[in-house]
Amino acid sequence: MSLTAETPTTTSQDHVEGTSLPDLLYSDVEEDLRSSVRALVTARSPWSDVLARTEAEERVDVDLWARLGRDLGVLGLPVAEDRGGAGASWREVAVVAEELGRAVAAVPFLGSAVMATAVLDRIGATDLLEGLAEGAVTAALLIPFGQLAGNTWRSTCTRDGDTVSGTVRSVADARVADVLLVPTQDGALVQVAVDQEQVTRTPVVSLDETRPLVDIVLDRAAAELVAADASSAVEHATVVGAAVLASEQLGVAEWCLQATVGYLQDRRQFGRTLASYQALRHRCADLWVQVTQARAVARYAAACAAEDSPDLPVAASLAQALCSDVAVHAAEECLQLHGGIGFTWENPVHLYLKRATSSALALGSPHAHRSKLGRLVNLPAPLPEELP
Amino acid sequence: MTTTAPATASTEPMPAPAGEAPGIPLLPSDEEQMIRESVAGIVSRYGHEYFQQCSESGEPMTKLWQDLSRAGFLGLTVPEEYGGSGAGLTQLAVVLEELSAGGCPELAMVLSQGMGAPIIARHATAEQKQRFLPGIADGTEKFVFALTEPDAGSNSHNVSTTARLDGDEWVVRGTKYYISGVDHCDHFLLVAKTGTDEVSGRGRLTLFVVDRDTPGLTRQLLKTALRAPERQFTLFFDDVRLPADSVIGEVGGGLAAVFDGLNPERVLSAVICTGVARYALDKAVRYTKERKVWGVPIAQHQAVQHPLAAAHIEVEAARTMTFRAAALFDAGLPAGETSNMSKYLSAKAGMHALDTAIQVHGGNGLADEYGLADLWSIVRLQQIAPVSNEMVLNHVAQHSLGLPRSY
Repeated sequence: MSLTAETPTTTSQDHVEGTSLPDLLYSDVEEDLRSSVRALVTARSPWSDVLARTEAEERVDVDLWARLGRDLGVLGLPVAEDRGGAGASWREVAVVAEELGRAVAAVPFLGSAVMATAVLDRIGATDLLEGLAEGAVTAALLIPFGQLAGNTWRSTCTRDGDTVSGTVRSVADARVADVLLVPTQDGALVQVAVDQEQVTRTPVVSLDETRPLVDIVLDRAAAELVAADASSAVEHATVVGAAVLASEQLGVAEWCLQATVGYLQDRRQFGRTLASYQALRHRCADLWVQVTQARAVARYAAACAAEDSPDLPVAASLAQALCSDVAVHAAEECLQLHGGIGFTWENPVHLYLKRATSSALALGSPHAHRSKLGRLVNLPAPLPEELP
Repeated sequence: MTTTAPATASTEPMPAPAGEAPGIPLLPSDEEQMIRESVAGIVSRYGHEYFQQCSESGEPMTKLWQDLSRAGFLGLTVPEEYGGSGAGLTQLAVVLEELSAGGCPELAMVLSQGMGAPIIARHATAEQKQRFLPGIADGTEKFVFALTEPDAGSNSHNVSTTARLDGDEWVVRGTKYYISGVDHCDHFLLVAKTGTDEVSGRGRLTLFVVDRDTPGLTRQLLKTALRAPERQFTLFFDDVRLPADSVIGEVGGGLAAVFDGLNPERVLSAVICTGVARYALDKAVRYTKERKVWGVPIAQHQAVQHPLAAAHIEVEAARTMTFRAAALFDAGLPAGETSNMSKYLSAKAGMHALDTAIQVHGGNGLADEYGLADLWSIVRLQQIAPVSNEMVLNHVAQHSLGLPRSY
């Protein structure tokens, strides 16, 4: 059974700007892109390697990361060609994220190719952007990974002349970054090279070791100003991050459903395949419904990011609120329906469950996104005086 | 059989050492099994069709009631000196669960035997007890209960129907609504405001016994979705004069007396749900084993089996807690929390079991002939009455968990 073969595709972008909803189907170009990325990660990042790397010294798959930039050129997709990018959009980025999620690949795609790229592109920091787009430089935006996307956070890092100081905990995708993009208390954005004594990166043990986190301490680190007023660019980058993360979560959920269906068709008990039991078939069918819903909201969020739609904050929170829960549920069902085998270290299900669980907290929990959605769609929470 | 054996006759419990809590038997006692078999035998002579007929006509299930009286099942909660058997709520709950499991959930039993008898036995004068209890015990005297008002539902303190003393008579003015079975009753217990507490500002409530045909009292049918022999009414009290000896218990102490009836009411509501659930699951099991589609009985399918099995588990859990609540009440221990929780669990389990049974019957689930969908309303009612599931959650949140009062 092929789950993806049934995914509808479209050849034309018949969406007319401002007059209708964006097309949520995958274009042929996007499907070609998917095939290339899947072929690379299947060859270079099988789950057994991913599992081994969670206990290795080097947690990040730097070889795969280099190949994504050098061989496939998918690290600068949303960047215009005159800025060194591929001149595609966040829609294509989202397809790459789906495939990387499907493989729980240990690469800093979300941090560098999504959030750092988004903030630099917004500001127009062309030089740095070129390095990121071609894969020569890896950057990380210094925000706590659990921080709710949007304008809910203010940095505590302070500038003093050409230096910056501060502590940011639980930053994702910064472990192998060459450059740290540091939002500062005064609303600026500075870039900090990591190869200086004044920058300390301390790995923290976290649930999902395929996306390792570090605590970062900057102690009068040499810094170069990127933009004096970067608040809205940083805010935008986190919202784009949330939108693209939804596609990664979709990839996780799709893998879990596919693996579950495959296992149930294979495994026999009481003289029949598990897939022949109605109770299990229904659970898979329910999951298919949820994954289909997740695909719709993730695609819409990616399309809104691609078009810089005013609906992007709503679309991103909607996608996070749904895809976070669907990915966790899919991974839990995958584990449960694999029985005892799903519980073993030598089975990849736990990698997906951990990725899904940590991604659900990343850039705001589903609850935080629902709460934010309430404000965005004018369903405000009761005022304190309205509570009993 | 003659009358039901008193609570301790057939299974003399081991005397508990001083200071040790009374226990609940792990297995049903001989007495309980005897009651169950006897009631199941009686109700099986009528079946659910009888309940349906009486629901249609609005007549009480008189023949069934008389059979229960002859077998001594109406006097379980009445002390022996007043013609009852002085058993307890547990035994009454067993009877009502079996009636419900036989397709005849008898609401009148909740109000007369469940509420009327313990309130009168605990709070009335000897003269009042002599006047009312023997009739409750043999079923010739039916009580209902008039508490709720348009602005006093869950909040009993808010009662606005007033009773004032005029000479040696009480004069009652006000309106009560959602009063069940008034047309079937002989007397009802009325909660009315007889003063105001200076400190709390709450009404001082007093409990009265009222003859159904007292002048000045009129009733109006309140049409509801409930399909049961009992109808609901609005009662209008237009200067209804009651003799001084109508007061049950202390003047101003009505709420304390009423509270003695609320826990039994919850337990008995719970067993209506668990009984109807057993009735529905029994029907569902028989139907799904007989009904064949594509060559196999539909009971062969896990999507049919699993919901029924889940419903059975939920019902058994609810029953366990419900009979624990009854035992606490009978032991004179605080039973409010457990009664509330058992009503909540049973209402939900009953709803789920009945709904599942209807679903596995397919289109037949809605046919009167299959006797399921018409019970939906009585189980649905238990999600709201005698206390809404939401009020149970409020109570548990506040009193069991110590969370701030939210209502």
